Amino acid sequence: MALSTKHRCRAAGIILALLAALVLAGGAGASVPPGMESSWYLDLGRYQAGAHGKLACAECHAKQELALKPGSKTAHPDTKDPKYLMTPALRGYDYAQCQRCHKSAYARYHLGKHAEALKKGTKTKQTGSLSPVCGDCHQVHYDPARLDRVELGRRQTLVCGACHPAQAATYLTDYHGQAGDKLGWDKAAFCSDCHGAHEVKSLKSPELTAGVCWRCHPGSNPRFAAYVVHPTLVDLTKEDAAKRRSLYLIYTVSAILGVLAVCVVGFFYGHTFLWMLREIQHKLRKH
Amino acid sequence: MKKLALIPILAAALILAALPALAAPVVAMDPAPDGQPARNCLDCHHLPNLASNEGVVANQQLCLECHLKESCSREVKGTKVPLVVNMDLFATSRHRWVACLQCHGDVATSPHKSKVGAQCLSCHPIHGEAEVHSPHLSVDCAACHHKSPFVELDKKTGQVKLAHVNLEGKPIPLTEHGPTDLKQDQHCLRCHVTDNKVGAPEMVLPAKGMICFPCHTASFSIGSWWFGLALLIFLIGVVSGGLFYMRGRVAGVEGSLHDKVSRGSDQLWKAVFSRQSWELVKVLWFDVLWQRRVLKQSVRRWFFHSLIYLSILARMGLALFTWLVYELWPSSDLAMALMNKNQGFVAVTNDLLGLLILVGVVLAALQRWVFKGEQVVAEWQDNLALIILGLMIVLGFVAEGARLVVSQVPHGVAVYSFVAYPLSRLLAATGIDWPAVYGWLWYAHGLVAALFVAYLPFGKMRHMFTAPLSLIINRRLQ
Amino acid sequence: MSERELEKGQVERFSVLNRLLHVLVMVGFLGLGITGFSLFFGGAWWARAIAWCLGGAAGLAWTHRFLAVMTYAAVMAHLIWLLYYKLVLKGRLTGPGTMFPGWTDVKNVFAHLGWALDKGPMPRFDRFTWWEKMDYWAVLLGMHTMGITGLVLWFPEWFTQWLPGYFINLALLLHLFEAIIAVAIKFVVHPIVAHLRPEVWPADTSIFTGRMSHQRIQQGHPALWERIKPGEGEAGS
Repeated sequence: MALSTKHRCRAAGIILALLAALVLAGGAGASVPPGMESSWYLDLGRYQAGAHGKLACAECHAKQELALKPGSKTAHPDTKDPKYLMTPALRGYDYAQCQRCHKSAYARYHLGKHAEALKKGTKTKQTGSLSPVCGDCHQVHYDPARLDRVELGRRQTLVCGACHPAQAATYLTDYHGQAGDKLGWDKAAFCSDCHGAHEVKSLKSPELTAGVCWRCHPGSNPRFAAYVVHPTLVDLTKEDAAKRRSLYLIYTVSAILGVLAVCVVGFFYGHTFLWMLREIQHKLRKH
Repeated sequence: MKKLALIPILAAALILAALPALAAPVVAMDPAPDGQPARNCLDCHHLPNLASNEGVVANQQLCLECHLKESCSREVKGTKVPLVVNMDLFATSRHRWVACLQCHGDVATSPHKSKVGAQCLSCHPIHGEAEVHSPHLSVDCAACHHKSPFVELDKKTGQVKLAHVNLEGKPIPLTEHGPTDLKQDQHCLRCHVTDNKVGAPEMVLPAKGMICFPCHTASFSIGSWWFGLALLIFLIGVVSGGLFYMRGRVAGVEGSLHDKVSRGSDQLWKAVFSRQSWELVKVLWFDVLWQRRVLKQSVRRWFFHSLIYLSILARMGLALFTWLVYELWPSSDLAMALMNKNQGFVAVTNDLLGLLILVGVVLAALQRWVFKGEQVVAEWQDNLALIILGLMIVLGFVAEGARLVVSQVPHGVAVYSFVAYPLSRLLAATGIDWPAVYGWLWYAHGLVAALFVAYLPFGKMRHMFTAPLSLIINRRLQ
Repeated sequence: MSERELEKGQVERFSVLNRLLHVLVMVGFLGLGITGFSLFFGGAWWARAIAWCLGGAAGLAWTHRFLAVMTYAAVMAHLIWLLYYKLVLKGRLTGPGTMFPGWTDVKNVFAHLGWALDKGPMPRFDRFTWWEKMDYWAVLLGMHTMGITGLVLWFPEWFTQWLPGYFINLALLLHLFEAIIAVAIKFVVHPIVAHLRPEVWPADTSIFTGRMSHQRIQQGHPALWERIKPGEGEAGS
């Protein structure tokens, strides 16, 4: 009779997931955002319209350009390389070169969680991908410059959501995502507004989070910050017992409410249908 | 002071050979800190996207590289004025998420100097009448909200702004970025003191309340307590008047008040939601707004009456329109213009309408006391109403004139207040200490206005409620 | 609540206050449903269209809160009226002519269902039928949950001074699911039952005019008719 907590949670999770799916309807589902595949061929029109469009190839690809010069000792592509033509360009690139123009971003990336995970070589649980390097998030050849807050924010939902789909989905069902990403309100919070740009933080401690919330919610305190923005069990560790407990409560309540909603609405719709039929029949019989 | 160093950016030059402008050695403020790669031009001269969090951080880093150093200062008249940002204050402010350039839009220029100061209004709307009076439109935000208590009047622009010197004329630092604690600091007393140099009245006056709406833009708040008292008396008068009205038969019903209210309201409801509602609209338009019945009786009476009544209605219309525009688009140019009493259109309209009311009052008084037409029965209640109304308008014009004197509005601007401006010249010639008197004038005008509102439902002027009501009810019964 | 004869053959069913409050709640609730679901399903084309009309997410949220205050004020006005009715007018809040649910209503639910299944006669309703009472109590009680959870979502910083943070999540869930139930029923079942079913087609205007004809009372509220029908002499046609 009594369902185990696990089953109940799963049922609640399914209901929530269905709701989320309904809401998302073709949103941040793709694992690789469009254009992130590393093709041999450069779309020159988009490249020139992008942020780096004025840079000559050699400014970022000096090694390759040198290899093409007469009398060069190296080659491009390098046939002597044992991984010849098999190195993924996106992760093979020497991103230290980016700091020639993006010094502070590069430095702060190295202070953050992504750099830490990259060093350890850990993979995300959700998509099994490695921690991102510059090119994983930034479409270096094509990303346009001077986007406004909403355009940037919508990009973040897609790009961050590629490796953290559960977080993106829950963000989009949260008021922040509904107002910001979906309705395009530039005062709503997007990914990097809370988690920071480049120096990404996971915000697991309410004390740290309260300071982040304070940016828009001046009355914020650690208790306020314990609000669950991403109601998902994905990526929770043993240390996140408090959030896990909150989530079980949230799932249980939503399951009960879901069943209640179906029952109540179902009863009234059925009853009204029956009632209408009877009255129509009554009317017809009279005539 | 500034450590200048030649940095041949060899590594960068190698790679950036394609860009000839960057190939030459450049002069940088400081060499890159130890262990960091050498700098290139675009480290500083590349404008980051300020809409992004990264851009905000990058911009702050650029500015704070100098403005955090003890040595960052400039010399003014032989005094060293620090230009250091106090990070204890800035980092605990919500402005820490805003790029320096978003507020100080014009500092990234050569020479490195701001002409316009911090641009608060690009994010924050101006205050409405609920918080401050509209003459504060000519006060910079920082004059109240910055920690520094020293303010001055810029004669060229007429703006009150932060002073760069203290009372002794010594230059002071203003770059700490500490906000005023509005609850504790007595920031109003920076200007509102005896012998101030910025054109502020000595008194701190209360905000206007909703009873001011018939003539002025205000907010739907009580305002000062005696405005509230006037409103209370007004409401008591309206209710007791209504109760008195209910003592008779309502819609043909005798009996308890409850029965009368419910039957009367039912009749009204029925009338509004029927074809008769068009009749009601016609009554409202012709008989209430344009006073068709009064016109039928006497053109002269209609003229006197309309001078007063339509002018008040027009001022109320403008006041409510201003309130609406401010509530909907507080940062818009239209809201700023309408709120500004010195703005040409607003000043001319308000003075013209005020003058028309006054002319109407004077003509009515003449008719009553001098010419004494046949139909006119001069009741003392009528006279009292006329006296209060006339006094209110006269005090209003005197207060406006005094305001023009006190706040030192430039003549070219003040002239739009075509009644109050000549008056202000006269007032200025008297040599009275107007900054000290202005507050009392304001209170006198406000008190007469409060009296006017409180007296409305009791005196003769209650006809402005009862006349339309009985017109509607009579039409309904026909 | 007395049944006064307003015009010949027309009995007052709803006082002016009740008509007014119903219009306010109707407009407020329609607007709340539209703006609320536009906020929640912000990705949908219709939601964006509505948001565009009202000035984006901020305008949508402002409208939602404005309508919420208006609707809740209407509910409060009704509660004050009930107090006045009980204490000043010495009216009855319980009994056959009132909204107070009784044992008869439970029996009527089943009897009515039985009638729908052709298993018995139509129950003889008094002034308010069981579904009308259900509609009334659903709003009267439901508005408080919507109001309280809405306030938690409006002022989360204040409420979390003494409530744990996940209460905001729970408030959102309650707000959402109750909105789904309320909109699904009040936007669909209520208009069908009150206006569109053959017995009352095309509309029952009594909530707007406040009047109900003798004929309608005889048809739909025979128990009430038993109590209030005029004496034989003055029965008229």
